[in-house]
Amino acid sequence: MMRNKDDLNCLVCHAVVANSVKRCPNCNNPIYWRKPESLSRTWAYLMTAIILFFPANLLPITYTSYLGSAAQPDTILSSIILLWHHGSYLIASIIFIASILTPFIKIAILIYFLTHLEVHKKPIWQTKAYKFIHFIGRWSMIDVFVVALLNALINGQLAKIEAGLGIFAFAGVVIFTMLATESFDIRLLWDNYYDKNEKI
Amino acid sequence: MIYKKIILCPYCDSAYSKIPLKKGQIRLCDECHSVIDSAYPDFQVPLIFAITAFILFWIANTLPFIQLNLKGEQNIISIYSSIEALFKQDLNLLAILVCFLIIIIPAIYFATTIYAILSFHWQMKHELTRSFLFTMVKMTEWNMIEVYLVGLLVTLVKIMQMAEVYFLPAFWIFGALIICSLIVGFTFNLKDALFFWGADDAE
Repeated sequence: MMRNKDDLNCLVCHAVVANSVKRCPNCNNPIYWRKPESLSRTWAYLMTAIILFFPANLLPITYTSYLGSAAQPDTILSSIILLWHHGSYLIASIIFIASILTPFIKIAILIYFLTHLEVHKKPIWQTKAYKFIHFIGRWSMIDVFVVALLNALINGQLAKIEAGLGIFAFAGVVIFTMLATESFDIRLLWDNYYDKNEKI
Repeated sequence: MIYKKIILCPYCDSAYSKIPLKKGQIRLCDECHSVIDSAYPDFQVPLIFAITAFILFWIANTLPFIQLNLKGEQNIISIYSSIEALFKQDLNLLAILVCFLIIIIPAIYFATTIYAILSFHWQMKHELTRSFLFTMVKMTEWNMIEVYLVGLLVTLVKIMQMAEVYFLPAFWIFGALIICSLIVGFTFNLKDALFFWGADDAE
């Protein structure tokens, strides 16, 4: 094992190229030593996601009207509580994990990384956590698809479900946290560790 | 200039010299335990499944796949008509987002996968194809049809209390499409010798 000194790694096709190359000769991906402007771009996407996180959870995502009654607004949390009371524990847990826990964990972990760039031990768990939030990111979209499908399926005289503003904010949270994860470069933590500690 | 004898870990930037792997083997980074090298199946597997997925895609999108009986009111939808219904209710932004994630991006993804593999295999216009190879890997993350399937199942469980739900044949085609799409996503990789053809390399 050696620490890489000056070769570049294409993060798309994993070709290793010389330092003078601008684009990967294999797959044409723009190629850099570290992801460009990684920290400021991650902060920008993350701030957008945090701002949208409040309307996503406070505004109603659906309005349900049944047999001509007045439309009943539901936020993400209230629809989960409703499902739990109906006895759909599995579905309630899936939506809770995908829609509330996952975005929260992603935002929390990225804020932790951005404020703890100087590491004293090898950032092994940080690397694992980063890969984990990268993997689960897209699964938060479940709730957006649920609302879109409810809208299309329950759309008659008897019952009607309409999307509320909250779902747009929520879709924004998912997209911006995915972009924030993508633009953060975990190798910066390893650079900081090796700058301070062992020289290989 | 591509150095073919070196591997760099994409997460911690440790350098290793390349060792040939047997089929099915993976190699982990000593420092951060990420997968740094694996013996992928060759290009025929993603090609076959991408062609299958591309054919199933059109069937699954146009044929109705869910039937819903709500106290005498009947509603039959296909993937396409569920998005059309959103446009009719003036939820354009939501409709465009869903349309991109489950129709436009998967369609482009399967089509370009087939095109890229074939154009490199027959060496037709492959230098042109090379200019967009990286976008195909970046697209994988935004191809969300398997997330859509989970969303669909959650929706159906939600409304089963008030309506009767029937799965039509196209639903099982949609299921097969997702399996093909996942296999393409896992097996398609730009490390295949196919794509290195003609790229200038160094020892």
